[in-house]
Amino acid sequence: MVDTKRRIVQILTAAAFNSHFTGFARGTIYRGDLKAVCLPVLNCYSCPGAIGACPIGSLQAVAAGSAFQFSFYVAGFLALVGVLVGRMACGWLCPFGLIQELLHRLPSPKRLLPAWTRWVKYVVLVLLVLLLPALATDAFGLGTPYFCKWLCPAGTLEAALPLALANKDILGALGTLFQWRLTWLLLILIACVPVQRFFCQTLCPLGAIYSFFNRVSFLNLGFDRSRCCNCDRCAGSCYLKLPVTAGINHPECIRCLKCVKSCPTGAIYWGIQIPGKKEEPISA
Amino acid sequence: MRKFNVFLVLLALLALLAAGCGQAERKPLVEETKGSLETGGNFPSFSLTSLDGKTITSADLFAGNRVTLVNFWGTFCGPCLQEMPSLKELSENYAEAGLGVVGILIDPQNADKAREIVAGQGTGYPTLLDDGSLGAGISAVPTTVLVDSNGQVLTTFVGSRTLEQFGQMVEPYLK
Repeated sequence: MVDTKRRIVQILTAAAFNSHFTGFARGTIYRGDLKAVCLPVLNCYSCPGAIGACPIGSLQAVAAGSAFQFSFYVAGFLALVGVLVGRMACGWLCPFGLIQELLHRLPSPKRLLPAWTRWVKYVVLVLLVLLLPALATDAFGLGTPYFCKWLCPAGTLEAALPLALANKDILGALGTLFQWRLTWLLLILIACVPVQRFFCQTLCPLGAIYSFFNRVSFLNLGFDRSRCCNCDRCAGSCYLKLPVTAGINHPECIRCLKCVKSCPTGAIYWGIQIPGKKEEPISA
Repeated sequence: MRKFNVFLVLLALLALLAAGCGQAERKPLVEETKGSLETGGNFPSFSLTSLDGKTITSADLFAGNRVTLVNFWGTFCGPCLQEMPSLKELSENYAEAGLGVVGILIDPQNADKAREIVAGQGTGYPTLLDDGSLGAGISAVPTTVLVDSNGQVLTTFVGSRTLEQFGQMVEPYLK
């Protein structure tokens, strides 16, 4: 059963984060003051509709610039989101996460990924987002946003394609790099059909960042073993087939809360836990 | 048991949606002035200051060349800087044929950095500081516009090019 509330929030936030609708018709991007604000999800800055900045793109833009190597503003913002809700932004707010989930609903044999594939996104984060843009610079001190340029499928889907369709100047500038990006995007989207949130699990550097916060965030999941009847409905309902009762607040958990809804005894719940205060369960 | 207030979240999202829809974007130049960067249009008239302090007008610039290559660039743009040597060589190779090359810096607040870059590259062609009226009309940098002696736009293209590609683009208009 589709978790309706979450789907509604996903659709609304995708629309809200990309609500500069005239950009799609004109083939231009929004350049107003709101663009200085980071969105909490992977959402391309160059999407014609985007009203905020992509945090991963922003990290790379600062690292690749000649003035600074690291953006404390973006890092602080992501830490704030992580401390508040952990990886819930992935599960409830990310437009590209929504697209992957919708693709996974297409009929096909479904597959789980080997555990080691989840470590690739950390390599992507460190190498392509943080280090290479800052260190691999040209004679002018300018680097390249390697993740944005070579790997980000959201950029191709949300920015390159709509801009090229509406702006003939951009269309005329497309070359072999776009051919690679389009191929890569199609591979990712195809992989999402048998594998739930393939990109999130294996490659998303923002998911990698948020994963550090799941165990310490104010909003978290709880497990009352005394109420558990070992029915395993929680693991069965989990989008990512995580061992819910063996490791609540798993780094891969996107906090869709399906396990909470599926638990017949209320053994799994979610709540807000502020350090120093008693945990307050929101639901049981 | 407290219930998560979905209504408040939805209200916040709708507010964000409305904010995005209502945001007045910076209007492109083509809507505000009598000028266009589209092929066949008249390049917007301007009077801009160069990096070395001279004032250059569009009328004098375009009238002085058979074809003028106007290259919009920014100090933050790697591909812009990488194509500068090609533009330098292009301007030298086709100067006698009547080609003039001029750069327009779209982040004039970084003029000092631009002077360092231009000095380091030894471009040989002038760079003008945008006063905010021209940069708003382009989608991305680098954007290159070919203009005839009457100020009419011959062609516009986005993205960096090699010397060979620049040559192929300007030669038909210099015959």
